Amino acid sequence: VPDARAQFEDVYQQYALPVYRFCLTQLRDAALAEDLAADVFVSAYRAFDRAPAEEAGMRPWLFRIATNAVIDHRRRNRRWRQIMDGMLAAPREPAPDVEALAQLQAEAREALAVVASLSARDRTLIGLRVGADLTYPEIAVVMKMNVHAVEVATRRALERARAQAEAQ
Amino acid sequence: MSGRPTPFEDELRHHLASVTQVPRGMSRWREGTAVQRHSRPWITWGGPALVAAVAATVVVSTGSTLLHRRPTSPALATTPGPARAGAGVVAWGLTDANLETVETAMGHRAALVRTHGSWGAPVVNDRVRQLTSAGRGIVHSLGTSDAGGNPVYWADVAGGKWDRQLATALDEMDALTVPAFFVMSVEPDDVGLPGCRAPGGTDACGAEFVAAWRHAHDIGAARGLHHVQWVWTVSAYSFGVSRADAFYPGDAYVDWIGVDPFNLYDCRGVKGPTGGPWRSFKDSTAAPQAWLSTHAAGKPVMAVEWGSVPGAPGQRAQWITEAAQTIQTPEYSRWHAMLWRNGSQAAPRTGCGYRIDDDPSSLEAFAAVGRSGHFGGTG
Repeated sequence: VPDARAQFEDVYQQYALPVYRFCLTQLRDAALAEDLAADVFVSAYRAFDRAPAEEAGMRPWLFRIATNAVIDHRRRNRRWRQIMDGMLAAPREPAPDVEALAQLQAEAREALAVVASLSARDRTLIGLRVGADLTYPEIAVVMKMNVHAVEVATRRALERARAQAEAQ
Repeated sequence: MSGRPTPFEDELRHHLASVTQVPRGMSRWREGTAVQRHSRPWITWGGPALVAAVAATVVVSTGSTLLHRRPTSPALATTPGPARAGAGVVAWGLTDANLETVETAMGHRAALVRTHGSWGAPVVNDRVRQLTSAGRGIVHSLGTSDAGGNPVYWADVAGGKWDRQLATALDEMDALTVPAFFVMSVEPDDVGLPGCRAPGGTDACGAEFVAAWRHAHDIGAARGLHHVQWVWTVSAYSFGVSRADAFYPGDAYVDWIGVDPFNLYDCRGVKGPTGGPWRSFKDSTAAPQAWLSTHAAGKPVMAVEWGSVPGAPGQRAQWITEAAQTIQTPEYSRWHAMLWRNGSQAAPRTGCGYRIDDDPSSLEAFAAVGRSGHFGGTG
């Protein structure tokens, strides 16, 4: 029987890239996405004894951790934003970490730019669907929604993304 | 619904699929279950780089069919002028010395880091790049010497000798997406009046400094740089002896007022204005506060450097806690940034030591403030 570490190594090998892509869609900053994705796996490894036994449950379980990490990250970021709004009369319209973004393919950067223009909820749905390649039933588990609602909401989010892309 | 992807969805997925490499830093879980909370500087806020990530639009012109994005102008603030005091929160930071130890204790990164460079040296060196890429803002000062240790005189600055280097430094800082504060000189009123050529003491020296400051500020303004915030400061002592006015360039040239309050206590071995009794933060800032009540109306205030010697065991921790309470009172509502001077161990000559990362009670007191909501923490 393989030990937990070996089992988790398999999980990591299988899901490292989808988790990283998901984090990218949420943060659009390669360095921050890497850090957050690393946190996701640290959390998942610690909680691995509570992971679903069956293979099918693994992805939703892992991405539930990832979405929670993103939510937590956003919450903390709001606090920083408040500080800066208080400190600076004309807060600089910030630009992405150009250096880190440059390491990504141009195609990915374009997609991330579109996703970044959406609401947090739309970003999450699209990130799970397109960045992490989850099925609608899997997203439903992660988001604690029913499958039909997830599908409707995700398609609408994608419509908004398309409109955003075309409008500019 | 079919569940089948739309063409746009497929296209988006295809674009994201170009990310094929897992960054090496992601495998940190392999360090084992022993990874403890706060075992490394956590990102508890992403800083402007992350705000950027969710808010900004960028021009990406690759000719892709996915997007035809209209170029947008560089997203610089268009309104020059002072920062405003507003949200009732205080950025909590320190000098760049054993920074990570303090951040680990806080559980998040410092909002601002105090950095220092010589005239003519690059501002954004590897270290500053490392600091800022993680979302920390910088409060950067130049001293009174160049990279070779030669003195830099205010008269030369005002005369244009350093224009090229100043322009480069300001451009570098302006390009940062994190907050960037520029302190042209910390305590130009210091003993010996470094930077001054003219004989004649405070007034003549102050005039030289003011001319240099205004000249430097004009360089930034001429280049359209409005991101960099200009922080003027003199020693806390000068505020109390009417010396500050001689060095003040005027409201139009200053965004923030900097103060350097220290509790020196016994460290200089002398009684008097720079040593003497154990002084609370409130006492240490009495003179600057009095000056602020009649000058620089509305401008925000930062402790460019501040600190206390250890005193008796636990005494400094208490001092820090009380300082944080003081800063939250209405009289200190203009104070919006605090940068602890995490200086070296007690210096042999003066006996003054402000370092807290190796003093558990002080470190915890400092970290506890940093974790509280008023100072940008989550608690």
